[in-house]
Amino acid sequence: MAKQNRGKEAFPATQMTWITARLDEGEQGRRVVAHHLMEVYAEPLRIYLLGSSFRNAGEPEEIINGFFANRLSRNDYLEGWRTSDKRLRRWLINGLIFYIKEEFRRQKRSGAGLSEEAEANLQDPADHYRAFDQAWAASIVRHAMSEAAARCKEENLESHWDIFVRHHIQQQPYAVCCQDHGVDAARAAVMARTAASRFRDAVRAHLSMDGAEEGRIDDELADLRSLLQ
Amino acid sequence: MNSETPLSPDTPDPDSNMDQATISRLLGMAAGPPVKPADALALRMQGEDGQVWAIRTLADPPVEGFDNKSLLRPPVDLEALRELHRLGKRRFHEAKRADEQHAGLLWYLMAIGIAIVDHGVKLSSQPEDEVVDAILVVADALPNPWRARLEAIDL
Repeated sequence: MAKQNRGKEAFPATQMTWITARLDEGEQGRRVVAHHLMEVYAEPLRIYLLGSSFRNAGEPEEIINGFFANRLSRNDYLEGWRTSDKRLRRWLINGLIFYIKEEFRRQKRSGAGLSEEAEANLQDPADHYRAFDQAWAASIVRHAMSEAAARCKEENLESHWDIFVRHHIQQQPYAVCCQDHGVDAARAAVMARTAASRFRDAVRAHLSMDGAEEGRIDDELADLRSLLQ
Repeated sequence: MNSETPLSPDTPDPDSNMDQATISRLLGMAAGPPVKPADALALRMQGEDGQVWAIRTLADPPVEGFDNKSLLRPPVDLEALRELHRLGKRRFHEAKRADEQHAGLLWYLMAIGIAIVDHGVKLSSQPEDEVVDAILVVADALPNPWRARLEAIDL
């Protein structure tokens, strides 16, 4: 979708609210944001690295840890993303590629760089975005499940969550998964619906924090699902 | 069919492997606006300030001079519930803003639920299963003691 003349003011409200609020809290808030990014994006970035021409650049975990430590220590790194009009995951991939190239240059200066041939083979492998996006979709689903489960627990809806998981993940019919909770199948379906709404909120919050505007979230979900076909 | 020991209600293992079809199906569950008004009301109450909104709404019944605390003391007068049901329904249909519509539905379902619990009387002409489902979805999002009051419909 074309987004012309977008400044910080036009950034999606939910994302602005959460990340801006954390960043405005200072050091502690930045640590919270950094923790979130590492939790949700490290594994997709690792998969991206393994499928890219950077896979021989070093241990993926070390590279990604180094990348996060380097970039997130900069006060202006996420500010740059906020004004970039990019999805957070694209911003992080681009940042990772720049970081690796910086590391190559640094190593080269110290005489420990890659051979010229190996360096010539390095590309910016856009075709591996697909693997990254698949891994990211799995990552946000897993995190959304954890968050929805925690929320259900806070609200004394543990049984609701259990039925949701058993029905929607383990594929049990309501007539089976209702039995341990002393409810009938119809009530189990309603309970799963309640838990599903917590899960739905959590997934949509992740997409919003990645930079999707509220009106685009359904399209983003459809795009992600098409990648998983 | 999976008939293993039930999952603990603890947070699922984030490292558990889900196949891509499952991930896709779960993402699909997050798509689209809630279709049913009761789901939309439940989401409103789960959102930011939703519980505050619910408490504020429940403190201001649409029936003039009606004390909301009396709804928590069964049995509630059936005629008062009929009036609450009528005014909730009207507010729902005449609302110009989403929150007014949510408030109307909340009172409408509250009246129907309490009438069933306290008197075994069905105020709505809608199919009973659908109405009870809607009441339970909304009950799950309500703060106590309102949640417990409506959940009694399931006992």
